Amino acid sequence: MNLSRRAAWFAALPLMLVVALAVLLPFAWRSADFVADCIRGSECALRDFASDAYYFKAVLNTAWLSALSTLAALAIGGAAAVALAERPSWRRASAVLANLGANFAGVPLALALTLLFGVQGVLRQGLAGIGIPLPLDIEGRGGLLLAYLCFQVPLATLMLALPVQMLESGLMDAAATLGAGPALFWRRVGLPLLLPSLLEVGSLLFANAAAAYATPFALSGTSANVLAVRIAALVSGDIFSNPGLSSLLALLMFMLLAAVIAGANALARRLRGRDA
Amino acid sequence: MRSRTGAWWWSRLALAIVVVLAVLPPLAVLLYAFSTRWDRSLLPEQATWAWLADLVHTPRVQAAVAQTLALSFASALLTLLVGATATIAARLVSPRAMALLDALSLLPYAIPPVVIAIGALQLFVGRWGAWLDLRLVYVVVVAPLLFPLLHKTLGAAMRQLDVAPLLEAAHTLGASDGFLLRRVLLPLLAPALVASLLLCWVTAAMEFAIANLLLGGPIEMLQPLMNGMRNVNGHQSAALVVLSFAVITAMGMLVEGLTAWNTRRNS
Repeated sequence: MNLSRRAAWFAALPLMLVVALAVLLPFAWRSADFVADCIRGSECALRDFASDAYYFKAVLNTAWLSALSTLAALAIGGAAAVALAERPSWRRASAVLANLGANFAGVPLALALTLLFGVQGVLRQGLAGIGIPLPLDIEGRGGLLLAYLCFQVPLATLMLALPVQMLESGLMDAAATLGAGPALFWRRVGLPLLLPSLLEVGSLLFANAAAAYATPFALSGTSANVLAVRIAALVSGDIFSNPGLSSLLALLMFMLLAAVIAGANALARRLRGRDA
Repeated sequence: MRSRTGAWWWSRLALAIVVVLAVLPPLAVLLYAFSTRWDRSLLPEQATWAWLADLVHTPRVQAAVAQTLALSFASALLTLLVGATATIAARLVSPRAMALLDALSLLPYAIPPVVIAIGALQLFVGRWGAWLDLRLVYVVVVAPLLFPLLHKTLGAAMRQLDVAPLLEAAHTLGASDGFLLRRVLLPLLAPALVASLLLCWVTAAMEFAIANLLLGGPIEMLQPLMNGMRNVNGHQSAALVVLSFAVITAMGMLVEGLTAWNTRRNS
């Protein structure tokens, strides 16, 4: 038996079938249902979306929470990766810790943050004891941002460690030999070379934050006004059910994420192509 | 020249922030799980094993753990079977199929778990629920979420092996691809395959959105149970978190060990 190109496609068939059945079929069916409702004009969810600013707010909240946590994670994680590239002996331990942090999301993270910063939280009480009120509502937007940073920053460190390491070896010493200081090196050499990786990692971090459901849900229940929670609450909620609107929000989320991922990857490819 | 020791305070500061963000939440849960109470002062009071011991003897927890381990293992196994076949074959002979698989491994980022869960809930439970077994639906629906992990782990292992010369050598010597696959490639890839299976298993076991939305009441999984227990007894919920992360860390070390061993063996 010899593997032909065609055999490779046959080998991929079961996987494609699983993905089509589990992901594409339900998504396409729900989207088609929503479009059909709107064409018939009977119960178009677009009307509900337009008439209630609450849902547009969820889109905005998701966008800024994801964007802000991604930018902060790229900055902090990238800088931490530089420190790790300098100190190979710290790498292993840091990777273990960052891995723990990146995976400590959802219910466990909500539990931890409530323990630390909740109404009865240890740190809140401790600070209040010495006369400093904590200006952070853990169930509000500040709390959500803090929670997202707890897993986004370690994840960014993990994902940027390798690209930064490859950049560091040799290049920086060469720049130093030629008399370029760190600031000049990063502005003219380091950041431009790292930009494609930053774009790719950034798009995945953005998607990771926008997709987060367990963390906002466990932290503040269905009152967390982000897209992931609204999409679920509009179908599984007992009080207010509107599957059409949920489909519309899912479609919006897909378009937002597909645009970010495809755009960032295309840009990264172009930048790489220019350098090569 | 730049001094290696006095280098940039900002990168050190960033690393310190990473460590605090990564360590503080797990540490808080750990302390809470092993203390009698922690609401009167900055430090927890009286160390105890009681919460953890209680947990092990609670039938509801036992059932959820068993259920979660079984279903997530089935999902991981399904991913390994269909995913590894696809990735290995594509990597060997077809760059175009590989490009499609790369795109498929980005799909769960664009269509997130919560959207998949709600779609499956409406179609497979709402419409076809009478004919479909809920456990089977869960196993199949979770698999595409795990594929990116497998694709990445296996892809990296195969890049490291540098399979093209192997394939050429086999052809020159008159061996068929099937023979090469069975006698050379699969044994070489075995550690990577086991590592990706474990990685997929752990990820599936810690999944919340689909477990909570699709399965809901009758089939209770670990993560939703953790969330439910939070409101009843926070200490016990914390003990459950500690227990699961102990298992995850052990599995993670196993994966890392396998990968390191594989790298050494193949280099």
